[in-house]
Amino acid sequence: MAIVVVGVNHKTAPVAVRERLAVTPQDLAEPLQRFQHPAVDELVILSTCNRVEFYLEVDNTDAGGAACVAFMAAYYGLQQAQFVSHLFQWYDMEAVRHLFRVAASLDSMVLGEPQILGQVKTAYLAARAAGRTGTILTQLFERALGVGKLIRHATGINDHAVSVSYAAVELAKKIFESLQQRTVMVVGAGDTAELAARHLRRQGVATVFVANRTMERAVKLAQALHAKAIPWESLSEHLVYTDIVISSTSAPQAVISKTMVQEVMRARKGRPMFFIDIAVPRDIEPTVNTLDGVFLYDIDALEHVVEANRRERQREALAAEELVWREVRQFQQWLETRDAVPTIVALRQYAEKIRTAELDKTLARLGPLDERQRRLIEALTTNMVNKFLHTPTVNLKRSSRHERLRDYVELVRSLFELDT
Amino acid sequence: MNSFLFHVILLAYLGATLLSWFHLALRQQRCLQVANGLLSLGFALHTAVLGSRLLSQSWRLEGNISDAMGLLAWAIIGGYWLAWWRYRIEALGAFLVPLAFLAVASSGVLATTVYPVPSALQHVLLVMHIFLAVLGYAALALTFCAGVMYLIQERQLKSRQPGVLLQRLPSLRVLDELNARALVLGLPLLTQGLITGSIWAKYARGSYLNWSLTSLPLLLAWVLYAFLVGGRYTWGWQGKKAAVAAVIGFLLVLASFFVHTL
Repeated sequence: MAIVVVGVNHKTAPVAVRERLAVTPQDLAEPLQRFQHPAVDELVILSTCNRVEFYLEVDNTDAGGAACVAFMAAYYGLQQAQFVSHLFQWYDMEAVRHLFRVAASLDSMVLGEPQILGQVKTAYLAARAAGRTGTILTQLFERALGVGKLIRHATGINDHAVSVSYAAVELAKKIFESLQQRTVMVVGAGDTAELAARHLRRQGVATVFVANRTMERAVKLAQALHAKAIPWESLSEHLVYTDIVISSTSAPQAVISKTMVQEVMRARKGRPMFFIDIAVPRDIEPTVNTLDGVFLYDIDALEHVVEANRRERQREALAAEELVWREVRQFQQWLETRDAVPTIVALRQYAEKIRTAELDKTLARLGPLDERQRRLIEALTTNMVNKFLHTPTVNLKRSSRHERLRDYVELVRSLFELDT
Repeated sequence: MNSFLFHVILLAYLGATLLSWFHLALRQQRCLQVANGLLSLGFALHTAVLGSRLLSQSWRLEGNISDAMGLLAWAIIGGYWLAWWRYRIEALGAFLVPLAFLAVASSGVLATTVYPVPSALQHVLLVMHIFLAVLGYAALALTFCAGVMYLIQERQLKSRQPGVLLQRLPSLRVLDELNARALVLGLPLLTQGLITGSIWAKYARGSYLNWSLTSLPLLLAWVLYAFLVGGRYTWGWQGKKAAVAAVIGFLLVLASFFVHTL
């Protein structure tokens, strides 16, 4: 009874290899059904853009691992040599720890990313629907999903923005609280500016202006963003109504000067403004930041914030690793109850409880007995119980040899309701 | 105040202060929950103590500094709950509750000598003065905290090197709004407190004003706050200006208070 994980991830294999092994969620049923092997009892396949991992519950780790590799070659139509060097294999508690780390986004390319938990859930549900999960993997994946959720709540691992546009949104929220009724202006054009504007839109920004020296380009970007293109000459007029400015022109000099912003702020009666300057050379005079109520972040400053956030996530990750270890140990304890000895002990305890209860009842009814009679009756009950349990106990112990241990343990535990 | 209850309330506020500082530093939800729990306990006890005193003396309050400080602490915590209900600012406790703690602590050491009140009218005036002034001070304490927090947060954002506090303090807009709203509450209260105070002074000492060390900073503060309220809408005195003014105003109020009591 062992757990094995075999797979590739973004650390062990380049995307060229990963894409050969990837399976979309809808198509998971096929490999789940096709991979049948006597050594493999349970199976879950996790496939995302960064990893393809086969989780197996096997009776024999070597046989199970080899069967998995053979299946992968056959199913994907590849030569083993093509991918074997990129495979990693973990067994037992290492495999458990790996899954918990994956679910907690500790193994992701971007620490703390939110999608992985849903992806793990999809993989688990697909395997369950295909009838390939049993007690062990069910418990393992349920626990993994719990660990993922726990770490999300108990640590700050996914709290801070680690991309420039998310960081800009975060900062904007620290100034304006809600972006719901804010006005954004995009000055110039470019992918980053457009992305940031889209992000802000998604946060509920009400109005977006687009300004460009070339009116046609402004109109084009405005269409893409459902925004309003404004004439270049009316830039400073519109700035009065703008809360957030994203500037990304190819101009060699600043297009927004300190004096311009000073006048704008006067007309705005001091309402705060957030300038994001992603252009190089910069579009906005750096001295603009000295004005009251104005916050200017150029591309370096935003990268700084992202870097600080990444470090914060790393710190939170340490706390998360601790939590993972704790969960792994708990899972190990659970796994051990699935073994023969604890089950035998539990069975004997169950029988002993019944024996002593019945013995006491009968002795009470019989009234006064002498020592010999009493001892004979006690011996009767003890011998009956021992003889009765002898054969099942021996068979339970033997079952690990012919690989039926898990089934027998399950059967005994559920038949005698030992888990309640 | 009954000594045992006084100490319980004092300890509750002290505990809440320390726990809110821990929460600010470590961001552990448990700290905040316990801090708020202690505050609820302290506030409930405090309310009960004040209420029972009012009843036992059939609403005939006496005016002494110690009681005023106790009332101030109560009003500050009341203000905290108001702000919590409206804005739920997790970091506010770290700034506001220490003030309440200091107020309660000082009520224990300050003189309980009662001002001589020869007439019933004077008595009523004195009590009203204390009551209104104290509520006003509590509201102004809120603006002070909002101002301090605003200045810290503004610094973080301006410097472009955000420290840990950036995440733990609320947004500038919320802090500015808290400042404005608390001021709208506090200024009228302060005004009425000043008016009743000066009427009482006329009766007690013969003149409406005495340009002493006490009243001067207080009047300055009042002028500053009045300008602030008006200036926000006419000249756009919001954000950093409002925060600085709130801090200076409260420091002036504190200065006059200390002179008043010593």
